[in-house]
Amino acid sequence: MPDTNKLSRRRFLKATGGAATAAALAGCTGGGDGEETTTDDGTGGDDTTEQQTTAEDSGQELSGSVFNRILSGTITTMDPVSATDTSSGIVIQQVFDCLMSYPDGLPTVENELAADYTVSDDFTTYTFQLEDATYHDGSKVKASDFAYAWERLASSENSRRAYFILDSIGVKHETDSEDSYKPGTLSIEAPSETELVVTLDEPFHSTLEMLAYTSFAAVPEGIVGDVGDYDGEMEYTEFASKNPIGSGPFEFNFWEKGTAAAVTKYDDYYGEVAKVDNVRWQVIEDDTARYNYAMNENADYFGLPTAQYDPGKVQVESTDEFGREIGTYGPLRNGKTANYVGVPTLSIFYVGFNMNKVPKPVRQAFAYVLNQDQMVEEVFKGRGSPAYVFTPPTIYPGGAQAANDKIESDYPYGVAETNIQKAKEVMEEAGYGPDNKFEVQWTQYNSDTWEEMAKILRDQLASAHVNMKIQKADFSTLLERGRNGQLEAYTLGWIADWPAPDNFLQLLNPPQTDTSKQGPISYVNWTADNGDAYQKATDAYQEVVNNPAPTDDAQQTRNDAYVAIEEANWEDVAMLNIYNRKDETFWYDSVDIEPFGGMGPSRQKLNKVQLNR
Amino acid sequence: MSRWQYFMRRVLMSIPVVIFGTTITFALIRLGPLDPVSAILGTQYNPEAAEQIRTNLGLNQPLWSQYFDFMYRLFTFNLGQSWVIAPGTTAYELIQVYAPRTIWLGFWSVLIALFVGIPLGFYAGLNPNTPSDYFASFGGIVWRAMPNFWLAIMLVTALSQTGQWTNGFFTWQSWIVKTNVVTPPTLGFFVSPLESFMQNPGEWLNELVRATKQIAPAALVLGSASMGNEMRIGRTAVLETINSNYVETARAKGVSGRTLVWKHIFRNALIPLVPIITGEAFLLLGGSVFVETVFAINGLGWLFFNAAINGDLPLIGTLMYIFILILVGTNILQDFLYTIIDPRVGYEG
Repeated sequence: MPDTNKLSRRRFLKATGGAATAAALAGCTGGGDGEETTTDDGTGGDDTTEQQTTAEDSGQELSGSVFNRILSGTITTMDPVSATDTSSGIVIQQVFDCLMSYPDGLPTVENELAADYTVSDDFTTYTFQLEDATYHDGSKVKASDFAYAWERLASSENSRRAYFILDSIGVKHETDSEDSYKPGTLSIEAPSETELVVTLDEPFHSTLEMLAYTSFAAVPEGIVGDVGDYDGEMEYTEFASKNPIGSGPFEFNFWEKGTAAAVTKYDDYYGEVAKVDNVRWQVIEDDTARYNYAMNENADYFGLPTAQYDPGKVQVESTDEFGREIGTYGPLRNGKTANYVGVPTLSIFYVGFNMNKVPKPVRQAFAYVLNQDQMVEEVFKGRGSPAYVFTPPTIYPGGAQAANDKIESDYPYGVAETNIQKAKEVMEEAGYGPDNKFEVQWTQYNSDTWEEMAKILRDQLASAHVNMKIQKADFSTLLERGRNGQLEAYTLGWIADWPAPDNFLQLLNPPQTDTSKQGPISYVNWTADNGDAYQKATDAYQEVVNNPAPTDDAQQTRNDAYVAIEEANWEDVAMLNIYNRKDETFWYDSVDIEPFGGMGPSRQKLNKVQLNR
Repeated sequence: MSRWQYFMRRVLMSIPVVIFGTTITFALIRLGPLDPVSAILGTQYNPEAAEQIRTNLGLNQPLWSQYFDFMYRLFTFNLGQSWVIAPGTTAYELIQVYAPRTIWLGFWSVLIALFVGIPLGFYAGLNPNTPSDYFASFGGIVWRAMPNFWLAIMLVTALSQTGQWTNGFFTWQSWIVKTNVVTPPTLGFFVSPLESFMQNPGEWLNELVRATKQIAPAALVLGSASMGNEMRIGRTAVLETINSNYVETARAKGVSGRTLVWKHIFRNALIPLVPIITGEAFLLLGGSVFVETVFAINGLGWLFFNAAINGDLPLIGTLMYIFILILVGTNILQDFLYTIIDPRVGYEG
């Protein structure tokens, strides 16, 4: 990679729009298993069950009631600043508390460890008053703990999300001669035990949302010695795998690697003390095994693989204000009827085109033949909603209705239709024909569902003079090749880090799609040469960057810019939107649990769950 | 050359094999398209974070220096911590968690193959062209032919539904001891077997039965192919031996039927089976990604596969190193067994 492109943190921040690259967790990153790119079981990372006996199967006894769930990916660590995968995030969510949280995963943040907060008039200074809370070792949660925990996030060698605090939120700090963060210089002050003052470089509209990430969780000051002058009360590996101490509603119980983990109710929790005594997760990565485990009632709460899912068995009884469908599903294979909730999550799955390699007519041909509605119905069995805009409709400027109106009136390639004729015309105008077909390589993650979709597309495109070759790759390979600019057409997904369009549309900010530079955020290589709307998209994104404040005026400016970026993407087809995933979970009657919200089930705290058996 | 010299020569010859194998592992992981940093960060990839991780993992060092570092650590059994699968945990610690299940599974699948396949094969060979031979031979072919992935899924699905199908008369899950159909067995009772057995023999035996029952379906699937194999080869080997001259001579001089079978036929018929068994034993101990996945056993095969696709070099290096050592070890063992069973081996050239 050319070193001339090594961006400084601050310059990178500018280039990427203030909040550029906040990432994952939240049931987001593909982490190790890459599920998120193409998950088709519709459950994110987390499924679940019953009997207390299952505890015995791992050789770990749990006393009292056990809420049994399933994790579809393996847990990697218990250290909040080191975790990047969904499975770890789900467990960490129960053990650690942050200043803010998404109640039941609904996309509106609420106070958690913060009892109250104020923001300065210029939106750069946040002052938090803390709850009277204690850690699982009995010590008090103090403001200075946050300074320590966030210093770890910024400078510990174990931290994998330093940019959350340095770039995304942009907490004021000093840099050294190489423009790297100078440890110990974060502008976080603790004037008293219960007051925390955080100063930002410039306003950022989703600061509070970011603070709901478990990366920002409170840990006792000096618990490990990986930053500053701290010696550490315990070895790092001890903290990260055997004895994580947080202030969440559940205490860590055990984690048997690659097998299972459990947490136990924390009686002195400052909020609502958990109603179940234990939550236990079994790690099962295979769809069939997960299905059988759930059907054998080893789990109380679970997802269903698409292969075993029958849309006809869903009985929706009500749809609430958040678009959550609540009802029942049954009969299951074991004869029981399960409770059901289906929630449109803030996610987008799309086909990206390397615009340097795939010319515009070909991209438009893809857009003409692709019928999003048909794909969702036939391939994904209705477990999602067809997407025509890159921003999930619920957070689209003006809401879902505005998104629909916009699509109805302006979508250029036909809503819910396959238009092979148009595709053919566009290709023939560009000089392609039966003897002069365009060859395109389609690279996707290893997923049967996506392959099914690819085959339908391939057959349709064959009539439009496009010869599409399907190739599958593992996640890490897919991304690596993308970053090296070696992909042509590829499928990936994005799941919200914070519930605002800029988190999604940064992927369509042309300068950030250049794979010849270091660390592109998407791999479409959008330039003035290969896209007519390049300038429009670039300017619009710059508008977003220039108006980061959480005010109505800035919001309106950003909203206009968001719509402009969507239009530019329609014009140039940098990314072809496919669908927004619907996460569905099922649970037996023995469990009483609130339906989760659009940020996904991994953000739900389980202290309100009740078992009745 | 004495058989000891022969044996020592085999041991020495294994050293370049180990070096070659580990070098290939390093080359495949580091020169291939696998990027551990992508695997760690996932879709939400940030260049700054990636750079930081790269530096922490030492991926910015020159490749030759990474190679020598890797080889040095490998041969001193000190590969450090996993990069992707479980950062903060050493490769050996991970193997300690995952290996016992795979060994337990491999142990039972080898046993099933040995104690069902070979006796059946020998029985068929001793009674050729009888209905029971046809039955055994046909069974062998069927077992051999059923693909693991199909058999595994069928078995899991069937066992999960035994209760419904028999109206609750027979439920696999609660038969003898209560176990799950999927998920790994608990092998904690092996930690200090004598002590815990003395303290509470009932509980210990119960755990043993539970662990055995839990692994049985997976072991049956995994052992099925080898079982068929060994049955077929056993039958042929016996047929070949039974018709050889020395057996006829022995029979002519009046050796009794039992002595003939056990002393003259059995031992000689074992010769072609030894490499088959040791080869299969290695395969089974190395783990079967598929069977482990379907039964949610998450053993070595699973760990190996995941470490490989995620470019987790310390882990994959350690695993490969151990596998190579086991493979070379079983080969040496095989040669050693040869020198015992077949005295002709080793004396010449």
